[in-house]
Amino acid sequence: MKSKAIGKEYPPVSYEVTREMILAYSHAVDETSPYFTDKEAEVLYAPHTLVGAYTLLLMPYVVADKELGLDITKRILHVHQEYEWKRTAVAGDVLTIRGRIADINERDERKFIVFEGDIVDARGEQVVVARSTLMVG
Amino acid sequence: MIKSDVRAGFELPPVTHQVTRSNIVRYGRLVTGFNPLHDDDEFAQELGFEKIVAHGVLHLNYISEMLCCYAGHPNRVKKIYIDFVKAVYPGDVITARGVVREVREEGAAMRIVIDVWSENQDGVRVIDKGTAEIEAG
Repeated sequence: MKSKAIGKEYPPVSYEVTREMILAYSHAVDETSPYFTDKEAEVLYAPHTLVGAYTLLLMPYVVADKELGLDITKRILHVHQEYEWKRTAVAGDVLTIRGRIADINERDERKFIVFEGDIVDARGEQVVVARSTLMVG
Repeated sequence: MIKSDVRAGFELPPVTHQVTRSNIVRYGRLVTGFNPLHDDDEFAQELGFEKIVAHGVLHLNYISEMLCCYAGHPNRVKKIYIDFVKAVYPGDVITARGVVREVREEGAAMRIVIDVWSENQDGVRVIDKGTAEIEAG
């Protein structure tokens, strides 16, 4: 039986990609390229995975979603990831995440939930699409 | 990017980093943490892991770092699809690798399709079945 939660959209979440955020992220992932680490650069690019990682800003909605029923005390593993970039985010971008549940399926008593985040800039133009599959159980 | 490097079978220069506990803690502070698997050793052990597990996207960035170095500019990295297949623990040394699968001409540009994966210090794959695409002018 297909879950009713498939296709559900979460309220959009916006945030600014700041220089501090990029530099801290680059430090945490040991990024070495000056595109992502040069404090003095006129244009400071966000490491490619940063924008995807910040789709976790949607987690409070996801965790509170009774229809989805995600039990965070259980074993939850990130098993698959897809990114498609139109361009790389830069410091100063104000991004909006439009998140939805793209699919839910069950195999071997495990549930696989696919979240899709469509991330757009302040002009409404797409920056990246991120799809994350979590395995529960 | 050097022209002779744009051909099927070319091995991208790999990127290696050690994932320390400090990387995992710093990463967890940046991104809204909801999963105690990343910061609670006891919880991780109850689920059958040796200790806390690194966020998958933390070390997925080693693959995007490798691709960006090869492509020569962040905006040329267009796509990454991967499976996370094994837990990465604090102390693990992870190497991102890639081999060009196909070079396609798309109008004036070229699309380079690359098989990507990562392995730990024992040569065991932690990211597998990866496909990436970059654009070259």
